Amino acid sequence: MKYRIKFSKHGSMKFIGHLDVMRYFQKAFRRSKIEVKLSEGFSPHQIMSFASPLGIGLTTDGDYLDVTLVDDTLTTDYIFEKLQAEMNGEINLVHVSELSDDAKNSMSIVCACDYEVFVKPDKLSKFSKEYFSNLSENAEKFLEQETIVVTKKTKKSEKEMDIKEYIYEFRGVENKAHSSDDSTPPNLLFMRLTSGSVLNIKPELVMESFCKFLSIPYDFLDYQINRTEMYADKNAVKGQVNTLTSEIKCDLVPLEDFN
Amino acid sequence: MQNRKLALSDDILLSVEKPARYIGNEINMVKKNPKDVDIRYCMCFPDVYEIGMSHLGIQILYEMFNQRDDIYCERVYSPWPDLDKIMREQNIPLFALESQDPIKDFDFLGITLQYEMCYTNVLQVIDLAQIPLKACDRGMDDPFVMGGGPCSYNPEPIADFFDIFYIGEGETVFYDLMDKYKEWKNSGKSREEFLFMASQIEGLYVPLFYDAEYNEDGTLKSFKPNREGVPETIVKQVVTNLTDTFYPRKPLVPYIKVTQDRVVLEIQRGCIRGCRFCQAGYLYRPTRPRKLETLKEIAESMIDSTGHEEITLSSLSSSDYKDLGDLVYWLIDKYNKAGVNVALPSLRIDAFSLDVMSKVQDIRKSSLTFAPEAGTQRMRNVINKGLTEDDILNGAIEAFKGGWDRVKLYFMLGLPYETYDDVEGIAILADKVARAFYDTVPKEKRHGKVSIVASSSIFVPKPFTPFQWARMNSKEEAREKRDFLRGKFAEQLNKKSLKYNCHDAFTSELEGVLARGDRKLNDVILEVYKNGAIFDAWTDFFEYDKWMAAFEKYNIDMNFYIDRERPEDELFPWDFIDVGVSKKYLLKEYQTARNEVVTPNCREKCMGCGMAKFKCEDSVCFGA
Ligand code: SF4
Ligand code: SF4
Repeated sequence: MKYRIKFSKHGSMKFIGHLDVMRYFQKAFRRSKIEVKLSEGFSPHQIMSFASPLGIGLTTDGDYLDVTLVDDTLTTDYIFEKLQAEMNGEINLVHVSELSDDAKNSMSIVCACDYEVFVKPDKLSKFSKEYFSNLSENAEKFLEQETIVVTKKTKKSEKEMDIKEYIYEFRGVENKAHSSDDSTPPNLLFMRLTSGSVLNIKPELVMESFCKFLSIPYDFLDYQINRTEMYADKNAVKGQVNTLTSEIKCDLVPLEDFN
Repeated sequence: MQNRKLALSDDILLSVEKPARYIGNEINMVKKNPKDVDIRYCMCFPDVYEIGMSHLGIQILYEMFNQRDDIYCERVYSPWPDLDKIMREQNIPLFALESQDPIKDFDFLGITLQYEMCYTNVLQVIDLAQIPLKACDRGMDDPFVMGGGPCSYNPEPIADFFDIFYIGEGETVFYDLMDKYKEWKNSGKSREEFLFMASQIEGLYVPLFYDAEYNEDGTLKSFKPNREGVPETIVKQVVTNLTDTFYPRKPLVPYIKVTQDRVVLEIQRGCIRGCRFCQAGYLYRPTRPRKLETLKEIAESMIDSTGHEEITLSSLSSSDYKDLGDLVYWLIDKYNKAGVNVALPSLRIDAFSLDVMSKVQDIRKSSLTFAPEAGTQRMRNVINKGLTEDDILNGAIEAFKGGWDRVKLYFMLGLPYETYDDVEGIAILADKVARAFYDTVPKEKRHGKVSIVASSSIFVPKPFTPFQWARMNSKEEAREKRDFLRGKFAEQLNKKSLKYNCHDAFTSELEGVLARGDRKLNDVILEVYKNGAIFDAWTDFFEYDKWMAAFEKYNIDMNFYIDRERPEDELFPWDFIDVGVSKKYLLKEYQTARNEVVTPNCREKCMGCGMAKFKCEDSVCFGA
């Protein structure tokens, strides 16, 4: 039986890279005594696949991994409880859902992600009052631009690209955790971006472009990026990105609800 | 959400390589409130995290200390040079992984000394912790710095930097020391008073209480306590019954891949064989096996608590463990199908090990390992290596029949009494193994050529071995032998199937100096460190010139330590330690070596090395 596990990763765990998170879950499954189906061969390993690697430094409220378990009779509640008992306090389970046997794995279906971008507490002094008071307005203006051209760097090349279409949402929102006497920022940026194997827009890239738009210097160390959700597209067409304005429009559902 | 406090800022962690080295919170990490304990102990392995985390000894002590409610034992490893630089620039004190608190506020910093080349890293850790480097400069607010592990059997070259050395196996008197510390802590007595209390515990050596005097030729004249009531000899601590001793059930599970990313099951301690070059073989006598049933139970609980996908057996010579077959087949039956790989240590190649290997490894991808250490039988008799040419060839032939076609051979160059014939013997032996393959495996069954890889390292004489008197080969000699041997490999009939690797003599010479060094070397090590040397064990960082300059500055001749056959009656800097094996016995063994005579192993016949006085019930001395 296939299952999809939604998990969060915060605190010091943001310094643990993607491959290590995979090893973390493999070991957690073993400790929980929930048997994961193994690959064939001399040194069999657990069959597990992640929706999308999260870069070092980023946190998440909702990343996903798919596993096939040996025992068909386990309930999602049971799995949640057993596996959560093996978590380390900073990586936690959010939800477990059952998948049909022919369900595509999350890596192949993820097509958009939500992010929150905060100014880190120790960097607040680098930002003007206006940055925060005008954040919503500026975000709107940013998105009203005719084009949003960025330089996309890959290992081999750099190319200019208009990503406006791939920014589904971009707005300033209130920081619910903020109170007047603490060191957290009053508001933050929320963005929903195209993601996945066809085209992947990183929040850092958008942030850099936004800073350029505001004519302020960009330093990735100033911001904490938190992924909040990952989506599949009900209208997905293989090898193609559907956007809000494309011929076939995307219809996004959180991965946990997509089967 | 309550985030764990970290000692380093995001900016720093995101700018260094592998930030996971510095954040702690590994699975099975012990969490305690520092306010609730009387003693804070920080355990250190002075090398990079991935190496330090792989060390079983620290895992044992970590869990043992933390069993006590009044102690919080935490860990630290050497910050990699990228972070080292930042910490110095920003004056950030070195911190423990668990609480992320500065180590300077701890009661103890305990450093394990596994190899000589870590000495500058020892200073790095003490220095970054903002503790005075020399024990004599430390005050009431500074932690006590302790040393232990194999290099503490000759602690003299680094004696200035330690308050206390623990000589022997950690499971025995640590608790006593901790009790004494609690007694002292609120008594208002001086730092020196505590050191005196420590010196009264068997196995603990306080360098401050001893003075060394030298002869004109630089050799040691006398080594004596300078204070009433301090013992003249320090007796090594030995666990008398290994089965009943403490073993970690919940080892730490790191996030990043470390060198030993698996469950390590120590099946026995000590080795029966007594190869004359092997320090571990003498230091960890007598051979003490753990009971099979206990091992099964430990293995199960460790696999359950870690979720590791591999288990490996650890001991100096696993083939000598009597119940090895039962243990290994049990592990394979229970775990192999469940996806837990059983990794085997290098075993003597015979029908049993080949059968086991064929079950747990892909024959096409694995290789056979032999460690004859020397190329001729004569030389193997000198070093007391029981492995004969027949053992090797017969083992190899069996393996070739079973489908193996890769062989690794390990040798040493520069052994005492070595001749150029012995050196050439290495190439000849390698060629014989290749020939055995072509004679055994018919053409149609071969997958190309057989691959024989021979490697040689440079022999470094170590304290407490029969070769502690021996002269070590200089770099030049070692290089000459290597080049000669390379030529001989090229002359062999099957040269196309042979490969020869030689570890360079680069660091061996220095290791030789430090291994049998004395107190005079403290200045040199401090000087090298102050000139910026760290991570000497890493070829990329090792700075030969800095060491040479320091020796020169203090007018110390490296050759005094290496290029010299020591007279039989010389007083050695480490003679004040009683490891059990007597100096008389070692000397007799050295003479026997000269006569090319083999000494029976402990199981064949007890040769009365001296260890029996420790009365280890479950040891080979008493028939186990
Ligand atoms: S077999 Fe020889 S080399 Fe190996 S541990 Fe024993 S004494 Fe040392
Ligand atoms: S006393 Fe005898 S059996 Fe015991 S370690 Fe020494 S030689 Fe071996």
